[in-house]
Amino acid sequence: MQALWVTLRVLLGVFGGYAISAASSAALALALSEWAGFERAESTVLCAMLGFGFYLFALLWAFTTPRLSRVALVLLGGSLMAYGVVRWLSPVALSAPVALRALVSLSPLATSIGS
Amino acid sequence: MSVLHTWVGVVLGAVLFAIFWMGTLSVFDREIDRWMMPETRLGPAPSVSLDAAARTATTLAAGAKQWSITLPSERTPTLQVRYPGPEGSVLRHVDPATGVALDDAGTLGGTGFIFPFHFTLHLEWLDLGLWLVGLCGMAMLVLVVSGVVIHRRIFRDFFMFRPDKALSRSSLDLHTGMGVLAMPFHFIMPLSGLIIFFSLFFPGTWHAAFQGDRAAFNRETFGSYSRPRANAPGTLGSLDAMAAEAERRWAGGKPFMARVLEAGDAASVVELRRSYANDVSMNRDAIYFDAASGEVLGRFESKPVGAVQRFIAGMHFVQFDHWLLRWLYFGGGLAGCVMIAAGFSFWLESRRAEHARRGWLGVRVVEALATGSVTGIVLATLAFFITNRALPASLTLAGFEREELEVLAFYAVWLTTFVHAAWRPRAAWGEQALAIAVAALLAPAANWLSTGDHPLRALARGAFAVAGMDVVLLAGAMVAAWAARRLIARPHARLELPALVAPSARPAESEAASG
Repeated sequence: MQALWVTLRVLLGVFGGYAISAASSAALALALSEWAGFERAESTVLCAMLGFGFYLFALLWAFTTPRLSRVALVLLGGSLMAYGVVRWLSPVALSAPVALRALVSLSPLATSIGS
Repeated sequence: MSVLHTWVGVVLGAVLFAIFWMGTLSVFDREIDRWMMPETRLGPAPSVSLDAAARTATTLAAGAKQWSITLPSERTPTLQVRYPGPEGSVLRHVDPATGVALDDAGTLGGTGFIFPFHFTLHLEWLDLGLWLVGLCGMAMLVLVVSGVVIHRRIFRDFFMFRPDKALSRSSLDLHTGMGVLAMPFHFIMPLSGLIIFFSLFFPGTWHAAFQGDRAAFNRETFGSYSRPRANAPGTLGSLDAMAAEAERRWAGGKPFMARVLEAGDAASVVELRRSYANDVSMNRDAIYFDAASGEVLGRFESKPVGAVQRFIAGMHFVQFDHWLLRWLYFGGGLAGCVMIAAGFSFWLESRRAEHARRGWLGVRVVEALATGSVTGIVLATLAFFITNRALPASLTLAGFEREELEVLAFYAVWLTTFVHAAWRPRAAWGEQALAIAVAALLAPAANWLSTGDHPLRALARGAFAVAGMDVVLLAGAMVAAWAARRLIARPHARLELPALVAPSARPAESEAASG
């Protein structure tokens, strides 16, 4: 039984933490480029880098917070809120068909690394 | 925090070791290439004319829509020509002094097998390997933070430390010692590694900012230039002249690579990329020229935040020329490997008695997996090196190319070490360490037999990479032999549980009580 709760916490921490980090990163990137005058590329890189830090914090928090219900509420609720902000700021961005089209094409591996 | 650290470490330690091990070797991947591809053990390259190189490249890449030449460097003395072939990208090494293409090396080498293993685990399907490495990267960050929190009473614990208990605590002390010694490294490496792949791991971010327009994202962040084909034949102007213009615009920065797009077409474009041999930052600076006339069409440089990402990526890639730093990175990586191995050892020794008593399988399963993942992967790597020197130059066996046979040897030996570890539980560590010592002696011997290069001769003729690899292998053999001796001679020396709680202030009394 204990194993079940631990498994649930791990799943929530890993996936829920990722969800809130990714969604917040997207929301902030949009906000910075639309309202704060950042260039799109600059805003993207900044928020993606910050996203890793946010994810680390979310993971540490998820595994050291006593109440599992709070972990679920904050991570899942936060993800939904951040996603809501993304859709509100840009109805096109991250809508299902757009996201699916991007997922289908291969990862930008060649452009990410070195030369 | 302690439970978190333990569980993440035990569950992911095996994969983390593989990443650390391959990463440590990747610091010297080009040197490993020199060792595994003897034909490329050339002396320092004379200064190369890009136009002469282009003549070789157009011959080799005849018919290809694009090709690139990478100039020789201190670590890679050959000219490298890349172009798309029927089975994927082709890489040819060219002797810069003669312009003659070297025979196909028949090996993936350090840059082709070991380096990609580090960040993909060679699990290419759906990029699962990349994502697993990414997860391990986050896990490593969690491990470092939780490790520091556990060990926060570092000064108090130090003064309570009892050297006469060193034997039972040796694994734990080694683990925390290696962790504390290279702690900034252990934190910055996973973080910088993750940041390299920011566009893969956080695709939503660029998606949102660019409304899903991937081409625009690549263009504005990494730079690219394209124009439609003219579908008419074209000529290639002087690359040397373009290089001189690029150097002028880069205020002295030199090109290290030239890529020709739409080769042979009237609308062909030449891209020159700026060298980062003297910078930490792996810049994406590029200048685009019209191939025929040499007219500058465009130029890319990262903007401030983009430049920060390039700097952080550069910190991870270590592509700059700095031998001291390179060796320090190697040392940091080795410290990480020892840290993980010692962590496993500590967990196993401290749980062994209890698991045996309760009939749990945990220690037995983890021990088999840990042994295969630590000593096993090291042994498999040595098998990879030895096979490389043992196989004849060009070979096809049972439908497998020579390079595939080397990889097969790696995985076959690796699998065997897991089987061995499962079959001979506690003895496997020591036995595999002994096998490592033997293999690490065989590898330089194989190099000597197959190429005539032994460390003294290699040093004398300036092949420092080869000498360095042989010396590191020999040093590794000595370390492995020492470890094997300790592990085999006294397998029961660590039966007593480590004194995790504050050591008793009255040792005489507690001994009398247990006696």
